[in-house]
Amino acid sequence: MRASDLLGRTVHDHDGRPLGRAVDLLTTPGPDGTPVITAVLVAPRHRSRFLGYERPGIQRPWTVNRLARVIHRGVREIPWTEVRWGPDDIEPAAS
Amino acid sequence: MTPDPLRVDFHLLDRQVVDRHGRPVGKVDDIELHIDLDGTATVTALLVGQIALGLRIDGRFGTWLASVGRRLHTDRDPVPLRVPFHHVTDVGSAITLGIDLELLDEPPLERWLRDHVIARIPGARDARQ
Amino acid sequence: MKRALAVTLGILTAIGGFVDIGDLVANSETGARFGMRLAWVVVVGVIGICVYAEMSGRVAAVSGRPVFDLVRERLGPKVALANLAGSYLVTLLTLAAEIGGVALAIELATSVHYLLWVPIAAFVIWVVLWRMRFETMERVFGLAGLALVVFVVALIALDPPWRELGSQALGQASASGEGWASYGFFAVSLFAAAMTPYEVFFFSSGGVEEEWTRKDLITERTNVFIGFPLGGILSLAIMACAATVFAPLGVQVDSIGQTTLPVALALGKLGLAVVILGVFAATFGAALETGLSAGYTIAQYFGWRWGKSVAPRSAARFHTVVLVSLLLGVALLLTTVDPVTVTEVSLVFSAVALPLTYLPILVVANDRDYLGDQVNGRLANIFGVGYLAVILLAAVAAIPLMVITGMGTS
Repeated sequence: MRASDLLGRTVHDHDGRPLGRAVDLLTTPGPDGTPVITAVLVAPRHRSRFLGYERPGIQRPWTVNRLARVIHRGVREIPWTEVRWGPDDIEPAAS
Repeated sequence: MTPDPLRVDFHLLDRQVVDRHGRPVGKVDDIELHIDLDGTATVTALLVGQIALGLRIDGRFGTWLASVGRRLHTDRDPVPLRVPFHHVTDVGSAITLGIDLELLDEPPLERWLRDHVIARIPGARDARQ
Repeated sequence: MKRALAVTLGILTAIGGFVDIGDLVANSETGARFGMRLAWVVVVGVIGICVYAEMSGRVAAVSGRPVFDLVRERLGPKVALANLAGSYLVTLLTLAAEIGGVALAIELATSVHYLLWVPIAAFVIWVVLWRMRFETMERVFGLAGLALVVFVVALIALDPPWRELGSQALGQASASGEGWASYGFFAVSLFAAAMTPYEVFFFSSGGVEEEWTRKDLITERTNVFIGFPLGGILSLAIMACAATVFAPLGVQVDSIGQTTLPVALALGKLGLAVVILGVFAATFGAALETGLSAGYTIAQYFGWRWGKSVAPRSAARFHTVVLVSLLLGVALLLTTVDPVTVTEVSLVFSAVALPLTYLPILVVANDRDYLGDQVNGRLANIFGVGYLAVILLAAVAAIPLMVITGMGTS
């Protein structure tokens, strides 16, 4: 499985309602240092690059930051365990 | 040093990969994920090369890019260059690997152009420091 | 001496933006048609390129990342590809024009038709790109391009009606008799040329080639704040010379020979010799800048090894792109297309390339993960955002103005 298979796909909640598209995958280091995905960043509308303004503490220049936030309003972090990828949910891979 | 949380799209995808001496290896053109039976997903490798990039761009140009990348390979079933994530020592403005460039497979386009074009021109060996 | 030579990267970069073959003719043409009424655009352009070249050089010095790395990682592979296509075409068309410009400069000196010189000029340019050290290249052609200072000398010798030129520049003089659309078209072209994207590609990649670090930020800023204003002054001197000699007679300027004429009038044969040397060095320097930039953009988009400090056989893809770009440039010229027209057409592609190049620079120049304490200050951001708005406006206006005015001919 590749990151590009998930990014851009529609994300659903437990009841199968669409939440938006996956725009980023958040990870944290696992026991052996490999990053483990903890959450999916979901945008209700656009699937364009975020320019980096979704990170806390990065907010200048003001105008560009505001614009980026307006375009990407409604973005949420959904915990990995709560994410459903629609009818053809992803299969665990043995690879 | 690696940022926490590490963002797959923002911190990894499309960043420059360099070896331990800072020499360019390629871009992170895609990322290999592994999903366990219990649903745990981990980042296992960086994928580098036109074959991976072409699939992400899609459309006619992307397909063309991937097919050129495939044709340059000598293997029967070409795959992009795979850099296991445990080689990554730093994620910053570039992604630094702890190994030498020479330990990775040489990109086929580089090898082909070197052998057929560039190395045949006089003076191709000299660095101009 | 070493200090003084450290600014040649900035000078060589500025040559490509202000006094390359397209600009040499365009500045003169503007002076002949509008007097100094468009001088303000050059000033606006100098400030704009200073703001963004400084940001790109600072990012390169602190993080080691040249401009097209930023474009790809901030805009993603698809939008970056649109920018790559636009930027590469601007760079390639300009490269073709500069090869023609070098050949035209030799034609001025020898009276042998320029098309015969095109293959020879291209070959010599390629040898320099293949063999010469980056620093030697930048010093030789940066300094030789300064021969164009002869335009400033010529202007003083011509003793123009300073008052009249001044009031034109300040917008107090009567209209030039040209339509607003032509005025707008020339304003947009001059601005786009001053901020042409290969300047930041070349400047930031040059910083990486020279292995700039945090310690070199002073060198970086000196390069920016000496190089580009110097380019702007040369540009204005050329415009003023044409405004003095051609405008009163109503002569139309459309060739490089005419651009050099005021110098010959003011300073005689010696002046003419110097100006031909200057045109040769400036076009040659701009050819090196665009030839390398063509390779830099493509190599940085794909993440290949690039640059002159590695042996060509270790950067085979980069050197192949440079070589193929030169050959494409020669092929384009041999269709007998006018080199100056070629640079005018490149404006279309600038409309795509400019906003998509400068936005990522502005964003990354504010990113503490990259720059730590060296992020943009308030002033750099005010100018940065302001210029981004102007760039967007110019990009939107460029194509309609081109169509209405038939590229400035009506």
